[in-house]
Amino acid sequence: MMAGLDSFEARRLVVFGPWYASVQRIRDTTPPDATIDFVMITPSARDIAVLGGAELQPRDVRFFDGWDAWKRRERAEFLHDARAANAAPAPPPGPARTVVAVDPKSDPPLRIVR
Amino acid sequence: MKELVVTLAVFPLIGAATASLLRIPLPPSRLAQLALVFLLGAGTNGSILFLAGTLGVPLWFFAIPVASIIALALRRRSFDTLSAAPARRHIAATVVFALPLVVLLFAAAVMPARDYDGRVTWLPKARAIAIDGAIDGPFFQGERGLNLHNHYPLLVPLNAATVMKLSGDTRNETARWLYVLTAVAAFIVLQRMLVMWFGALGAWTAAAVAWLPVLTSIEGGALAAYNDLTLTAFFGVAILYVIASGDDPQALHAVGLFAAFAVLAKNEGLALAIAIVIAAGAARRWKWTTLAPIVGAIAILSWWKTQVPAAYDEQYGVLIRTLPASLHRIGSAMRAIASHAVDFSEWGVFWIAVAIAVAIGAFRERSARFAVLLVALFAPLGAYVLALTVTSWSIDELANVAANRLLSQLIVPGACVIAMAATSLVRRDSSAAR
Repeated sequence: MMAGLDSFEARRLVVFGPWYASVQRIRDTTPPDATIDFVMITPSARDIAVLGGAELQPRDVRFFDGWDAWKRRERAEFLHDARAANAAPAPPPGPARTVVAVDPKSDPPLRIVR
Repeated sequence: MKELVVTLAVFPLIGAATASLLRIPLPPSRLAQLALVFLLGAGTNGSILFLAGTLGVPLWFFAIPVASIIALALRRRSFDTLSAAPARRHIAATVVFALPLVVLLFAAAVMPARDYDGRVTWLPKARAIAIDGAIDGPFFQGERGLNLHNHYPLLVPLNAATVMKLSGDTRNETARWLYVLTAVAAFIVLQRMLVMWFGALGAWTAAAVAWLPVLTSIEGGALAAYNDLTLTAFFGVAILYVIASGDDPQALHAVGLFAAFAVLAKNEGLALAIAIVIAAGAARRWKWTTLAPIVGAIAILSWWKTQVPAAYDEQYGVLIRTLPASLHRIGSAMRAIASHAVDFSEWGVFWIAVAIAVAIGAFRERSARFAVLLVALFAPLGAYVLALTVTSWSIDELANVAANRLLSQLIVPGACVIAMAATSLVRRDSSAAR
């Protein structure tokens, strides 16, 4: 099935599904030096947010847990463990040119809201 | 296909120059020689770029291949080859061995990269290095994008960045050939050495190992951008060369180098390098020159870590201090690893065969080779059990995502011990029949 599709881009769409299609749209509409805020609406949005953020590299994607954290400019922390693995506290990011709401249950899962 | 050409040209070229300069003996077959220089080139390229990046030198990805071409052009003598008796061809076993590897290569050409950690951890590092031409740029300073596990060693992302930069393409699949060819190269070297030492039994052992289901795992298999099979390759070659140094002392030239590559490829590489050093000591094939590259690699890694902040990195220094209070968890950690080792869907009967082979060897083998293999299997296993014991995760949860990948790092000594025990049984039986 994969070999029948003529590019990796087309194959990724088949394998990954709707979230990848929305990442493609964001990539097509933003320049490589864009700043993009990903606002994760629910905890289940984390996976597609980090996968989508990686796909959008080198765009500067910042992650926020919900709209309140986004308003406070408080970056999401993906893991916290006092004994084992922590992120260094990063400074609050400045405003981004593009804001994306990330919710795996909505259509599209990554939606440009501004 | 440009990325395939780049991968197939750059790393063997660098490896050939390294083998020539350091007089590293190559295995006695053209394909295994190509496989060995591919792995040597990957290790050398990543290590030199890691050193350059740590020193703040801009990363010119074309410089090492160009220097290698010059070094090879000025070369005055032929490559050294491991001394070995001419080996018979084992055509049926070789075909069985080659089939799954060819399928893996075909899959690499058409399947998109699907593994989670490769896509969110390792490939973004490679892309950032390719774009910035540095290993301490904004991505690694936490100023741009999301860098999970900021202190993870960068040898493999540096190689992936080399392919991306020289191919002019930073998509995930550009680096894919590097990963799959590293696994394939490791298996080719393993097959050649097993045939050299154990004849038909070695050939069939290699053929069976090439069919291990774990190689096709989405997470950590040969198509994934994880670094575990790279460690399998570096650790495996180092152990094979410790054994080979019994017949050809020049083989020791490669041991410290591949141990150093392991240190620079992944955190577990340090445990594997220590196992290599102990294994060489156990076989009384120890030289101080073996240690020099390892110390150098540790120095590079430590120095670089002072230049970038930790982010989502395991703090082993903190965790290991909790060991006395966590000792009661050792049994659970051992059970967790064992339960994955006997999972037929991932490993077939490989680890059961290894356990039986170790038991047979304990009764029948008194060779330095067996001592090397015992250390190569049990020293890393001990380290992995300790890591699971002190983890702040649930042991089973961590084992579910890591145990098969950790076990895959030990495929080469596992395969060797199976072939050795089988040979020992056949030899004893044929002596008894006579």
